[in-house]
Amino acid sequence: MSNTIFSGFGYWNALIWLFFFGVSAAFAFYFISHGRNDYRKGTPQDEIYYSGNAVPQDGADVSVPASAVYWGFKRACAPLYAWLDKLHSGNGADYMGYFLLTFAIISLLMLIF
Amino acid sequence: MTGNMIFTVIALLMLISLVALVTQKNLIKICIALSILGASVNFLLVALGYRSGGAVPIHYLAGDNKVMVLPTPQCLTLTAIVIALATTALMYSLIVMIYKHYGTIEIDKIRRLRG
Amino acid sequence: MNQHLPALLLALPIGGAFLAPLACSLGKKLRNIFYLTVSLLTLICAVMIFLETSAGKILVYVMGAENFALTLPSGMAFPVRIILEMDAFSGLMVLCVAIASFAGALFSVNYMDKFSGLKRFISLYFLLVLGALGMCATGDLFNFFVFVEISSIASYGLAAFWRDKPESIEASFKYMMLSQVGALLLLVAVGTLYGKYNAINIGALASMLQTGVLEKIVLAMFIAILAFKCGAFPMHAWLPDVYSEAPSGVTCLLVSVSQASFYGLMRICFTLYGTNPANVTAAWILITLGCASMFFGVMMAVIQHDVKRLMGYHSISQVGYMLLAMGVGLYTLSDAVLLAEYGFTAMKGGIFHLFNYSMFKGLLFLTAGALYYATGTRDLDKMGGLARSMPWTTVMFMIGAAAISGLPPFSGFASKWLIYESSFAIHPILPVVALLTSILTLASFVKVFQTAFLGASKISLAPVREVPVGMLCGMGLLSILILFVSFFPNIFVSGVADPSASGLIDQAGYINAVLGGVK
Repeated sequence: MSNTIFSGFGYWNALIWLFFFGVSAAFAFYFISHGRNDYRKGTPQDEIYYSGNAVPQDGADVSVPASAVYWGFKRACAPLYAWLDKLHSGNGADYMGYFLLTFAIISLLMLIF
Repeated sequence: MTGNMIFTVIALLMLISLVALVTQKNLIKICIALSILGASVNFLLVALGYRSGGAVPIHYLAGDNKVMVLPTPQCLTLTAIVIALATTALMYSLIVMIYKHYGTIEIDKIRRLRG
Repeated sequence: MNQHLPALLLALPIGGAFLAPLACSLGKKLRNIFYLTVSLLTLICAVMIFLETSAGKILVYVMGAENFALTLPSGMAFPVRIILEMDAFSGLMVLCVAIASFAGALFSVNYMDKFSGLKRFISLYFLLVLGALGMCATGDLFNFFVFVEISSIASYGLAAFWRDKPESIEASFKYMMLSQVGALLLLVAVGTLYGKYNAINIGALASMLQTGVLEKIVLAMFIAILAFKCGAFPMHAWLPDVYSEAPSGVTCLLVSVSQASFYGLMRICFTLYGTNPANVTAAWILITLGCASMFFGVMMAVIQHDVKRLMGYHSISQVGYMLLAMGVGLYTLSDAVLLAEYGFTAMKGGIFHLFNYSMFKGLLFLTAGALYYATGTRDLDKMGGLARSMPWTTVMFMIGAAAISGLPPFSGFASKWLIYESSFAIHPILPVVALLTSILTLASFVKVFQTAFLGASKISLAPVREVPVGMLCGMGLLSILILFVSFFPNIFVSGVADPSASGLIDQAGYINAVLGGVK
């Protein structure tokens, strides 16, 4: 049974992809197995390094909260996000305005072209 | 002229309700605007649904007259009225609950869900 | 028996809806059995319809006639009765809705167990299923409006189901306000067509449709309303609210319900308008709406930290892919060479993505529901290290997240790939936007995975356990389907997407099924 799908410009086959993924994974594990192997369980190697401080007991103190993830991205796109925040104002009348405005624009485009 | 009068009235009603929907802040007034919009749409359907000279759309009563009135638009105007009744009732009950939770029925104060 | 399947498909959920209060008074166990049995029967019925229609048959069922196949009584030229008409695309949509409703029901049995008012919940749930199935099954525009209203009213009720939460009421009210205006404009559009052509049957209208200003305005109305219903960019703001505030089993179904609106849009653009010149503008509008939805939807999703709200914004961006693909298909519809070259591939990609989207988005909303059930919060800031206590949910979340981000070899990749490989022929910027969206999708799901499932265990989450088995079954059903489609996309593309796309293109076939005098 052929698993290939064609787009007219190329083809995709999940099983062939898996096969090559397996081959490259085998290579990767082969290279890893040739690396240094001086890890020992139960030695100080196992301890978490927390900038030399004592590691907090609660995971909440060491995890990065979701709102802080991609801080740089948010900062770089700040003007766009300022605009998007203004757009999603939470005001139902605004949403109604967007709907009617979009409808008007679509009608206009339809009539012009 | 008088033949198109009804459509002018319908267009005016629609315009009134659409303007009210965007400009009004009070939820009750928004509901009233929605009811007006619904009424004008039903008005439009009733006005359009009639074919001059159309026969009853029951096949053994139609006789030789081949111009028939479709039965479904009339039935569904009734359906639309029933739907409008149900949604209006639900909407007012939601407004009551919004008032209980937020202490206001101004639409620009009810915006916990944003961003 | 088989000829009555379309009526049975609608009779099952409506029967379920009205019998639910009775079944719920018989005790917990019987209630759950009833809930699952009706969902399962609907699924079986949908599968049977799907098998018939994907073989290329168009099912026609006339309501209220002495003969259910008599579309033109007394030798009249146009149908006067309510007609259900289902081709391959309708069959596919019915299947999507039925699978989502069964998975949602399996999930809800445990998820909603601790709440009261379940008789109303189950009633509304089946009414929502009925609305969505009816939208896909009907061959009549007025009837389409009625089913849109049934599904909308049921979803207002379900969005506000937890009525002690202010946010639920707020989301429900905003959705209701917008949706009512949309539904009334839909009624205006249908009425206008009726006023001019004296018919409301899609097939009969399609055979008569001319080009003119009125038709253009009506098409604009349909596009605006149905794009609003499936959440295209400037009209999307209600969608994350409703999706995040509804109970998760319902959100899984709501995803498919919005796909039923998408189906309506396609039915109107392809079958009703066909090669009408107004469709060229419509195609560009769909492509523009699609690109805007993809990009802005995912940009908003990246910054969210409420897990269900984040997924709600992803729904907007995934709908964008389908709008883009179908817009490309619509653009090439009147040119047979371009259609064969890339338009048909785009349509196949869009339909394939539609199925995949219903499955993986449903799965992701169910996993979000499982997180909420286990931790009592939807805020990602308060989660962490849950992979240790919820291994099954973690694995299924990974499958869903990989599929939605288009990571090979999962199903999302295959469908997105078909869209990339065809949309570039119109303009190279389109697949660039789509690829960028895909990358940002991956980024935001990496964020969810990292903050909710990985990291150190939090003391506040110590009592968290894996969710009950019913919820796992609901998620597992969708996961298995996703894996199956991922590894055997050819079965799906040649067996389902191909006949669906051909059915959409084949306007004459759809018209003939009604007007050709099927006896």
